[in-house]
Amino acid sequence: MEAIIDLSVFRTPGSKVFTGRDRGIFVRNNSKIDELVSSSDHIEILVPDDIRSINPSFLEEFLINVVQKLGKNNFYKNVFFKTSGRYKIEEDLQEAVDSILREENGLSK
Amino acid sequence: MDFQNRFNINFFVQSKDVTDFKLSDISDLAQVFIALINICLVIYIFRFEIKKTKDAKADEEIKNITSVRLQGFKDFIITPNFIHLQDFFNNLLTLKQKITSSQIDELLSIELNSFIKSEVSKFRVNFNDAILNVNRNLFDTIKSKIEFLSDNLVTVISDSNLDLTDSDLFATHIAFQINYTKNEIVALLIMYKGD
Repeated sequence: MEAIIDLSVFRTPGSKVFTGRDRGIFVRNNSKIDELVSSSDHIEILVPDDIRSINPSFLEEFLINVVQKLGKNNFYKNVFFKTSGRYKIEEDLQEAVDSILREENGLSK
Repeated sequence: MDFQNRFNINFFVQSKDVTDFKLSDISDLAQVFIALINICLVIYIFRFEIKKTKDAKADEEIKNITSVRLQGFKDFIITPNFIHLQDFFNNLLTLKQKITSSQIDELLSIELNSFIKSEVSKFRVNFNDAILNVNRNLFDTIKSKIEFLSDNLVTVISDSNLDLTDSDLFATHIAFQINYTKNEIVALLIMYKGD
């Protein structure tokens, strides 16, 4: 079963960015991503087309429990970000995932 | 010879009338009492001095360890990597040359955001990760300040309708934040006591 989280539901009106740890915690709690990861095989996260940045600070808090639960490899196998705009999330996502795992293990990179 | 005389213990068993006490007896007793107090005082002072010496040695040892640790922190972490800290903030200030349009369009905004986040990532690898192994709290504090700066810069560049080609607006919304964060981090490093 696949679950879908649409980030446009959680964006601040008028804003073109997702930044900050507080916002990350808000979206984590309201999207219920921590529960979806247990009840679904895959999670697809839809990024609005006109988004210009999703900062690692936001992603770290949004994904912290999911990454810690699945580990790096399973996270990339089970959680997908769908972006159709110009912004590409890969580098920010990698920075956030590595940072979460560094929190657990000390220096990992 | 009865038992008492035989063992010459009359002095102990015979009760002495209070009126038989002479001034010299009182003086003898006072001298004994003063001698006892003196002995107690000598023991107390001796023990106090030993404890004081021990505490001073322990304090000195802690000071030496802290001093060696701080010197190592300065020699092996800060001095060789300080150039990366300066580069990070100087590179961020080049945003002034990179902002070429009074209206930042989507493409330029994504490019500038990517530049900011790439600089943050380089700063972490070249500077802050070295601190992680020495002091976790200092690492977290620096990370938090850099995150706050990059989030603010990205938000100003992406969300505001400010003309950042204007020198005053750039100074207020970009340069001030960069320099403020730099000063905060330098102050954190200077005030670090090795604990």
